[in-house]
Amino acid sequence: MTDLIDERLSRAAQLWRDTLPPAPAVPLERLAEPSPRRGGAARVGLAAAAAVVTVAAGALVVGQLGSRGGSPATTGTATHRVGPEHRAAVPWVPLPAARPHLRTYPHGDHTAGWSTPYDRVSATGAITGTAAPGDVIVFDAVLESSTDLPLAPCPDYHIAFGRHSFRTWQLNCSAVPFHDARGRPYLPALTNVRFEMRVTVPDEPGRQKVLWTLDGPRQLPGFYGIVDVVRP
Amino acid sequence: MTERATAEEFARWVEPHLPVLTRYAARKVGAADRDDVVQEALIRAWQRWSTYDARRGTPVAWLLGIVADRCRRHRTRRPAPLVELVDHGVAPDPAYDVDLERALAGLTRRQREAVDLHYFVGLDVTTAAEVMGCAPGTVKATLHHARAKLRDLLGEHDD
Repeated sequence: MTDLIDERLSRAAQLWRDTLPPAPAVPLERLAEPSPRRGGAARVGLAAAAAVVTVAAGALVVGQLGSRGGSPATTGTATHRVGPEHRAAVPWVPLPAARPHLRTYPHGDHTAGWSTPYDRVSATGAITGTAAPGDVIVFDAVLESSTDLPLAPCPDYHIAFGRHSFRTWQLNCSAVPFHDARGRPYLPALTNVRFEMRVTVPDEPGRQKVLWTLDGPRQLPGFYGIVDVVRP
Repeated sequence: MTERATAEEFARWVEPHLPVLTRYAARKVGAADRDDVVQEALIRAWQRWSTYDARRGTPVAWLLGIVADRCRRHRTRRPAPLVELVDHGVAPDPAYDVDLERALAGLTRRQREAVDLHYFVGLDVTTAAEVMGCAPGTVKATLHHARAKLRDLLGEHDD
């Protein structure tokens, strides 16, 4: 006897699976954060050594974008700066997305439009260059507010790389060098505040759009650039 | 072997299971949030990799347990959305079975879990049982009851 529900479930499931985007890549750059216990102390030492090598490789290739240096052969990965370098940038830290509740409603009226503290923030940045899958690209996201703006709650941001890579992290607000009277980090009015950004290049060769957006505001302030992904 | 190589070793170990993990997360938290959940789960799995014991279960069951935990945390820490978001860029397929999706909401949590794991995630009954922490026969029975309930909810009966 044919089970019509079984067939219907199978058909619906297949259709659902077919419409799903491809699975995300393993976030290799974030796996380096914790110290895994597998393998014991010997590997912890190796982790430190590898980190030094990666940083050194990054320093070697900064400014070589477009001509693509040979450093990946040394470490299997490289760090590329894909925008101008500024010493004052807030360092990038892979903070997990916090998904803060940002929306407020005038007079508590949920039928009226909502707003967020970051609606008047602009975001700019420059992203361009060439990299290989697995490389880490570095660029700055520059935030500017028209008024003094406390970074409380600290917002999240997204980086979309190509068609299949989409990551969300929290801004490194605690490292912002400006603090208001209450000691909270803030964006001073009409002042460029740079945040260093890092993202691993997915294995998606070709000209790829890299999109950075601040999460929360209706307008999603952000910017994008193009990175040529070339397999070594 | 460098730390980088070890991370890549983990990536190679986990990559065959990514489609299953992603489908499971999409069923649990929706397509819009599944990548975040999978990413968090992979980091957690990496941190706990040393605790994985092949004698106690398959990698996919172990990984799905971590994804399930991350899905629970994701749902509890995220306030209910005020506006229902839809996936951009994917037009609804005319063949999409809206009635069936609605009927699935009428199943018990356990039945829904069995249906999700077996049909939508694509696990065989044995692996689904491992994930659900029960015997394969229990999963078969749960699926049987789920289909019967769906049959009632949809008014569809075999003749």
